[in-house]
Amino acid sequence: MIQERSDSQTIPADFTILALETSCDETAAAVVRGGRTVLSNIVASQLDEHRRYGGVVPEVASRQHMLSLVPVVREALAVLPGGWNDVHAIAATSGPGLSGALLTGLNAAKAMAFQRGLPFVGVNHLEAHIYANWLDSSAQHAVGSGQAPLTFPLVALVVSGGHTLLALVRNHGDYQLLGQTRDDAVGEAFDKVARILGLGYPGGPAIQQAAEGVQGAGVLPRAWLRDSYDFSFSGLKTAVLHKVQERQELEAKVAPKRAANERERRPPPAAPPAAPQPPAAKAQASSVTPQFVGQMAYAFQESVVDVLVTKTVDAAQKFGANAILLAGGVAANTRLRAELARRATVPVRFPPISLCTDNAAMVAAAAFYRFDAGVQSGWELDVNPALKLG
Amino acid sequence: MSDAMSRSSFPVAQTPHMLDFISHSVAQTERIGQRLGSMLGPGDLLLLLGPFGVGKTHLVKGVASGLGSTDLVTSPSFVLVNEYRAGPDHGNLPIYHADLYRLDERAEISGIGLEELWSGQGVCLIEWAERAADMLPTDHLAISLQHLSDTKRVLRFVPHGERYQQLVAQLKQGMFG
Repeated sequence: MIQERSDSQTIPADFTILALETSCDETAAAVVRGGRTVLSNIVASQLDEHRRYGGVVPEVASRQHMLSLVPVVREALAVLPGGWNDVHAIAATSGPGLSGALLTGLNAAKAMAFQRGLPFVGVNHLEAHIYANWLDSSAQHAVGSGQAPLTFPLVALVVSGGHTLLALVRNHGDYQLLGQTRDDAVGEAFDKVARILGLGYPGGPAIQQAAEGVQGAGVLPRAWLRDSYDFSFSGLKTAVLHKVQERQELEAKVAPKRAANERERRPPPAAPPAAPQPPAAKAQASSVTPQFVGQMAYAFQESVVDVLVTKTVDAAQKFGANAILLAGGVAANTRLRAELARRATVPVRFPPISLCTDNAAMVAAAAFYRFDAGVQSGWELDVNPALKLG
Repeated sequence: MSDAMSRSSFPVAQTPHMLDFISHSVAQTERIGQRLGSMLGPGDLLLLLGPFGVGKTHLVKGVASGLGSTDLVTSPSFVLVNEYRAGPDHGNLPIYHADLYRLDERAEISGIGLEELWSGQGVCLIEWAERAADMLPTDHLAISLQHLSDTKRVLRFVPHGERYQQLVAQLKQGMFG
C-alpha cells in the first residue's frame, strides 16, 4: 500500500537516502544527497571479494546477495561522518528482476528502515535507470543545451542487457510505456552477435571497437515493426549468424584450392596441407577474416542504432518532448549517443557510464522524487519480478 | 524408458516416442508451441536445446499463448528468469521462462534457485538447458531445435518419463491424426 503524506511540505535539500539494488546479479548500495549528489555508489562485483570473504564468490546467486549485502551497505555508509544518523530514508528495488534476488535487497531495506524508524519506499528498476539522468549534473554528459534542468514531458530510451523500452515521462513517477522489445534486448543482441563473430566479452564494447573505421560493410535488415514503437532484434541476430555461416562454408571450399595453388608454386611441401575446417564450427567465426568480422560488427551496430534512434526521435517529436533521456548499459555505446544527438531535435542526456549499468545511486534518485511527492511504501510491499513501467 | 542413458546424452536420445517436426517459419514454430502449450499442466518441465537463432524464444511465445497467457514473452538471457501468467482456462498457472545462456559455472546455476521453478506448481521452460544437463530432473520433455536453412528448422521432441511420452503421443495425434 502506498501512503500519501498529509503535509505538502517539500523535503529538505540535504535529504539523504540509502538505496539498495539487487534485482539481478549485482549487489549494490549507494548514498545520495538531495536526489542528485552521489556520496557513495558501491557495486559488489567491484569489491575485493577475496579479501572480504577469503574465496571466490560466484556472481549469480540470491544467497550471494545475502553475503555481499552487509559489507556493501557498510562501505556505502562509510562516507557519512555520522553513519546511520545521517541517513534520512531508505529505498530498494522491488522489481522487475529475479524474485529471490529482489527479496534479499527489499527485505534487508525494510528491516533496516523498521529498525532505524526511517521512511521506506520501493522503486521500479526501470524507473531507476531513467533517474540516473537526474544524478550529479557536474558528472553528467549533456549534448545540446548544456546543463539545463530537465522539464517534462521527456522521452526515455532504456537499453540494457535485460531491457529495451521507450517511455514517455509526463512527470515524476508518471510514465507511459510507448514500446518495448518483443524478443531480445539490445544489450543481449550485442552480446550474442559478439559471440557469433568470435569477439570478446562484454559484447557491447567489443562490437563497437570492431566496427570502428570499417568501410565497405553491407547493410543488414532492420525490423521496423511499422506503426509501433516496439522493437525486435532476434531476426537481426539470426541474419548475422547466417551470413557468418555462409562465409564459413565459402572459406571451407576456397581453402583447399588455395592450399593446392600454394603447393604448385612452392615445390617441396614440408607437410601435407591442413584439412579444411568443417563448416560445422557454428556460432564461431574462427575461419572468417578480421575484415569480415569488422564489416558484420559495423553493419549490425548501424542497424540497431538506426532503429533505436529513428523510433526515439519520432516519439520525441510526436509527444512534444523537451529532451531525450538515454539510460541503461547500452547507453555507453558511443555510436548510439552520437547518432541520437545528431538526429534529435531536442537535447539528449545520458548518464556517465558508471551510472548506466545496474547501480543503487539511480534507485536513490528515483526514491528522492517519490519521497518528495509524499509517497512511502508500507511494510507489506512485496517484490514483483514482472513489474512494468507505467 | 532409459533415463540414465538420456541424462548424459541429450540433445538427442534414441527413443521410439520422439517426434520430429520441420517448421518452415517463425509463425509455424509459434503454432506448434501453442498446440503444445494447450496440453501442459502444473509441474511440467520443458528443456529447449539448440544454438542461437533457432527460435527457442519463439517456441516459448507459442507455449505461453497456448496456455492462454497474454503476457509479452521476451528472451530471459540476461534477466535469467521471466515469469508469465497462464489464462483462466489453465488455472492462471505461473509460467517460468528461464535461460541458462549466461551461466557457465555449475556453482552459479545451483545458486539461482532453479529447483524452486520446477518443483512448484507452474510450467517451467528452460532455454540453453545443455548447460545444466545433469542437474535437471530426469523426467522432462527435451526439445532440440536445429537450423535447416535460413527459414526452416527441425524441432525434435524427446520425452523422458511417462508423463512426457503421453504428451508427445498426444501432440503427434493432434498434428498427424
